[in-house]
Amino acid sequence: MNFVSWSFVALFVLVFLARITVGRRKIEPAYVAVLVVASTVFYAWHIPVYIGILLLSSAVDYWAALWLARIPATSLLQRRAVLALSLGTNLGLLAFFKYANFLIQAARDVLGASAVAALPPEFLLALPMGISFYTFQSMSYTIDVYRGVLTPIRHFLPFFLFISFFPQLVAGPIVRAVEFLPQMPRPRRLRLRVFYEGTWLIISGFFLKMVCADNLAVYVDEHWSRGSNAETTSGFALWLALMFSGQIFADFAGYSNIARGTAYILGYHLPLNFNAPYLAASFKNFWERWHMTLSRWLRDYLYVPLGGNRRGRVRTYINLLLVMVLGGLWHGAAYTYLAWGALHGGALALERLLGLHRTGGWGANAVARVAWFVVVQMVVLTAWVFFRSRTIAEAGHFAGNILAMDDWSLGAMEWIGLLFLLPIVGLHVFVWLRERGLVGEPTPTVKAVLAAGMVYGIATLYAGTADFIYFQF
Amino acid sequence: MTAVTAGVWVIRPELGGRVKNITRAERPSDDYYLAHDHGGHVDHHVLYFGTDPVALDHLKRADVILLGNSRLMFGARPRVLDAFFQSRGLRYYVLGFGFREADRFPLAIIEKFDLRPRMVIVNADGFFENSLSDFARQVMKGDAFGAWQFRQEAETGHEFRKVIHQLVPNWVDLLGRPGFPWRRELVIYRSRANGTWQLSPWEVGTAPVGERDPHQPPLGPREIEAARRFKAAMDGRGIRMVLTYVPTPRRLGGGPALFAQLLQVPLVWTDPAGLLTEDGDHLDESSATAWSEAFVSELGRVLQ
Repeated sequence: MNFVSWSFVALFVLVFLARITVGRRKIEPAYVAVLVVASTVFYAWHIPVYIGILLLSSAVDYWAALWLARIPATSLLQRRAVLALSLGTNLGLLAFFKYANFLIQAARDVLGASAVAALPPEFLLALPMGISFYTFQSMSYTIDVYRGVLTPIRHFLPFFLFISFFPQLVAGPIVRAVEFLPQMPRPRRLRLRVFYEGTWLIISGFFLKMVCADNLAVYVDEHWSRGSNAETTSGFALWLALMFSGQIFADFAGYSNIARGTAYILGYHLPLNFNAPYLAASFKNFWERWHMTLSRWLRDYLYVPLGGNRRGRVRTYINLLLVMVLGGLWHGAAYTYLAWGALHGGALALERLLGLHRTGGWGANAVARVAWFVVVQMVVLTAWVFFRSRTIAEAGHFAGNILAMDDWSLGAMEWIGLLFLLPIVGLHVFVWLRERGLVGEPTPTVKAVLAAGMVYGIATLYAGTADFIYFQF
Repeated sequence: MTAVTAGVWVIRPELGGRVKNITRAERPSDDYYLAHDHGGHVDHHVLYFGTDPVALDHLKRADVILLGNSRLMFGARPRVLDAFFQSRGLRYYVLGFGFREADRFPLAIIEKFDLRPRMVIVNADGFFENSLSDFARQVMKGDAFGAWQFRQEAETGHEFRKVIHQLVPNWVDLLGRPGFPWRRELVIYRSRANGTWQLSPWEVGTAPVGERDPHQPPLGPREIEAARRFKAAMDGRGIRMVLTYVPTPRRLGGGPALFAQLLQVPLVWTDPAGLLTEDGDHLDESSATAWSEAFVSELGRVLQ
C-alpha cells in the first residue's frame, strides 16, 4: 500500500480509531491485534501472496532466536549454524528476488551467445515490496540475540509486529530490535503534544512527497534521457542532476517523515532517517545524515564485523569500499548501483586517507574544509547521476556533459522547475542555522502556520501519485 | 485557503472559469466509468484485466472493433457510430488507448480474451510500431487486484478533486507548466457499452488540421514488419481488417494508403473540410462529429 493513496487514509483512520478506543494505553492485546492485522493488510495490498515471504522471514528469525537462547555460549559451532540458517534464509530470499536475473544476465555477458541456451530464462517475478528493509530488520534481531545483547521475544505475534509494523514496513526507517521491542510493553497514552508532533511530521512528509518530489519527478522522468545526449549543454545536465538529487531526497525523507509521524501517533517512536544531508562537509558526515538507519545497520552488522578500522589502514580502506559497494547492491542488481556504491566507498576511503573525516589535521583547516565540502557535494551529485541512469555508459555521457562546462544558461522551464527545490533548500538552511544555535525549534504557533501553508501547498500543487522511489528496493 | 483563492479570482476572473473545469466534469451517464484523471489512464487497467464485467461483455460480443491511439478516441463519436452500426445489425466497440498506444497492447487484449470480431478497423496513425507504451508495460506487469485498486483510487481521487477544487485550484493544472504543453487538466469517461471516450469538458478547437496526403510519408522497414505481423495475427483469427485515418496536424508513422496497399486491405479515407483540433493534436467535439459522419458514410461504401 502506498502512503499517497486513499486506501492508506482509510486504513490509518481505522487504526487511529482503535488507538483512541481499545488502545488508549497502547499495550492492550486488542490494539496489538489491530496493528498486526493492519500491517498484514498494508503489506498484502501489494501482492497478497507475498505475505507468505514476510511470514517466512519472520518465522525463521523468531525460531532461530529462541533456539540460540537455548544453546550454551560454549557451543560456538551450533550457534553459528543457527545464525547461518537465519542469515541464509533472509539473504537467500533477497538474492533470489533481487539478483537472480542480474546474475543470469551477467553470465550471458561473460559467456557469450553460445551459452545463452544453457542458461535458465529470466524470472518474471515482481519484487516483494520492502524486502530489502524487512529482511535487514529481521536479521539484525537474530544477530543481536546471537551476540547476547538481546533476549529473544517469547511470543510470535509481537515479534511479527516488530517486523511488519506498517508505518516503516516497506521503506524504513530500519528499526533495530533493541529500539522497538522495549517500546512494546511500555504504556503510552496519546497526548495532545504527541498528536500535534505526529501530525506535523505527516504533513511535512506529504508536502515533501506530493509537492516537491512528485513535481520534480515530472521534469526528471520527462527529460532524464536528454542528459546523456551529445548536444545537451552543461547547464541542462547539471539542472537535471540537481532536480533528481532534490527529488530523491524529498521522496525518501518525505516517506520517512510520514512513517515517523504515523508511528508516533500510534504509540511508537521511530529513529530519524534524514538530517539535511546536503549540508554534509565530509562523506562520513553525509552518511550520518542520509538514510541514517541503513548507514548504522551497515556499520554495526557489516563494517565492524569485517574489522572496521581496527586492522590497519589498508584494511580499513578495503572495508569502507566493500561496505559501500554492498550498500549499492542492496538497492538492486545493476552496474549503476554498484558504481554508485563504489564512488561513495572510494570517496570515504580517500577522505580517511587525507584525514578529512575528522576535525583535526587537514580537517581543522577552514579553507580545506570548505573546499572538501564542495568536493563532497559534487561527488554526491555525480553518484546520483549513476544511481538514476540505466547504464554506466549513459551515466558517463551525462557526467561528461556537465564537465564539458560549455553553456550554463537555463530556460523558463528549468527556472520554474527549480522552484520545487526551494522548500528543500529552505529546510537545509534552517537545519544549518539550528545546528549553529542561530535559531531554535519552531514554536507551536509557527509550526501551525507552516503546517497550514503546507496543507494548502498539497491541495494546490500536487502533481500526481507516483510511487515512492524506495518502494522498488 | 478559500480566501486566497477568492482573492486571486477577484484579481484574475478568467482563472476562476478555467479552474472550475474539474468541478464541472460530469459523467454522461451511469454507462460511463472514469477513464482518465490525475495519475494516468484507468481504462488500460480496466480493459486489460477485464475488471468491469459489463465493459468486457460488450467487448467480447462486438462484431466490429476499432483500434487506434487517443486521436481515434477523440474522433469516434458514439451518436454517429451507434446509428450506423445499429442500422446494419452490428455491435461495435472502440478499443483505442491514450499514451500514443500502438499495436501490441490491443493485440495482447485480443489474444487474452480470445476476441474474434468479424472486423477490426485500425486508425493507421502511428499504430504499426510493434511497441508498447511504458504505461502499458507497467499495467501488464500488474494483476487484477492491482487494477481494481488503481481504479478505486482513481475514482475516489476524482470525486475528491471535484469537491476540493471548488475551494482551491491546482495551480499547476491551472497555469500550465512551461515545457509541458499537454499537462493540462483532462477528465475522460469511457462507455462500457461501446468503449468510446467522452471528455468533460471538451475545449472548443482553434487549430486547423491542415492538408494531408495519404501516400506520405513512406513506410519504414519496422512499420512494414509490424503491419504484416499484425495482419497475420488478424488473419489467424479470421478477422477482416480495414484501415482508416483520424486527421491530425501531428501525424505519426507512414502514409495510411501505403499501409493499405501493403496489406491489401481497404482504406476508409475521409477528408471533411474545416476540421479543428482542441489542442493542436486531437479533434474538438464538432470536428469529431463531422469526421465520424464522413467516416461512416465512407465505411458504408467499403462494406458494400
